[in-house]
Amino acid sequence: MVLVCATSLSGSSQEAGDSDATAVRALEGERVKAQSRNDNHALDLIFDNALVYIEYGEVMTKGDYLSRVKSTKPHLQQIVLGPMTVRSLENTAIVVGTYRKTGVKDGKSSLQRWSFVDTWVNKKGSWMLVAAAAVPLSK
Amino acid sequence: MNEELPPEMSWTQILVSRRRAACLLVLATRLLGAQTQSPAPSADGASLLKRVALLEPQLAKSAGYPPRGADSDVEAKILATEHMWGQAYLSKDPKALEKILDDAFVNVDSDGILQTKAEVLAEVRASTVQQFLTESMVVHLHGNAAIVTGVFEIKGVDRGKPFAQRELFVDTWLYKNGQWVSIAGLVTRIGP
Repeated sequence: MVLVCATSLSGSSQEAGDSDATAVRALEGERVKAQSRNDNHALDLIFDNALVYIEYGEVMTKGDYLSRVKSTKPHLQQIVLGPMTVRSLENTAIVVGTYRKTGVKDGKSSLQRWSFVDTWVNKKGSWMLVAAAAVPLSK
Repeated sequence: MNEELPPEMSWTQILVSRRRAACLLVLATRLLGAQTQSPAPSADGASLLKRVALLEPQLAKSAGYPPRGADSDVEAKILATEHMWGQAYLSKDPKALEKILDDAFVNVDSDGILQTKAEVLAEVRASTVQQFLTESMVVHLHGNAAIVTGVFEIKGVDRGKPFAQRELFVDTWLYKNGQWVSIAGLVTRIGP
């Protein structure tokens, strides 16, 4: 899987310019980079052990998701992040955004846009991804 | 063992509770600015525990954390609130939902469309849902935040046509100002 962070990481007008939002936004970028190189060790540090991951209408655990990343052929898929907003509330941060996924399925190239909602919780000074969910945009 | 202490408490629990009680009383003094004396070393364990029991909810609230209790109690409270969500759609009454959705609540629906709190409340008012069932709900607690996943099944009639949907959802809850509020949600169709 190839993930490209196309969004500027410098911030968005829709979010508070606090340091928490900046830190979480940077972590979203790190996550994208880690996935692009199938770096499960880096993802392991970003994902909370109780991570809940929802994509393709299925609930996955951290273990399930890391196994999927490991078995994905990087050259067959590319993900480009679109705009995202980060909102931090106390020790919790919500990231809402879109991404574009291109790939090859049954010999044919495909393109799909997705909306996502990620939840981060600050645990002992580190932001951990506790929930990540995505749904394809139908329009 | 002191007769006023719960009979099921072991000595280890009492010692741990006393230590926790002493810490909390110190914290209480600092937070509330009270001119109370530190608990005397000879303080009776039961009275100490009683004082902490009275203070702890206030301390937790002031610190932005839910009052301590069994995780199952907290989970039950959040699940009950999730059920209120379904009830709101059935009754077309967004009043209860107004209180449990944070003002900055955002939801992504099963078409990938972003909805604000106002848009969700409008959807509730215009609801044509006649049956709303939730199942397989799981709560993951993370201090003052919680993630709930589950499945809901809705049936109704829209413009004369009956419909039935079964979808997967994930909601994020936050303990804020003494109550659990939902700050984000996402709904998706089940299966690849």
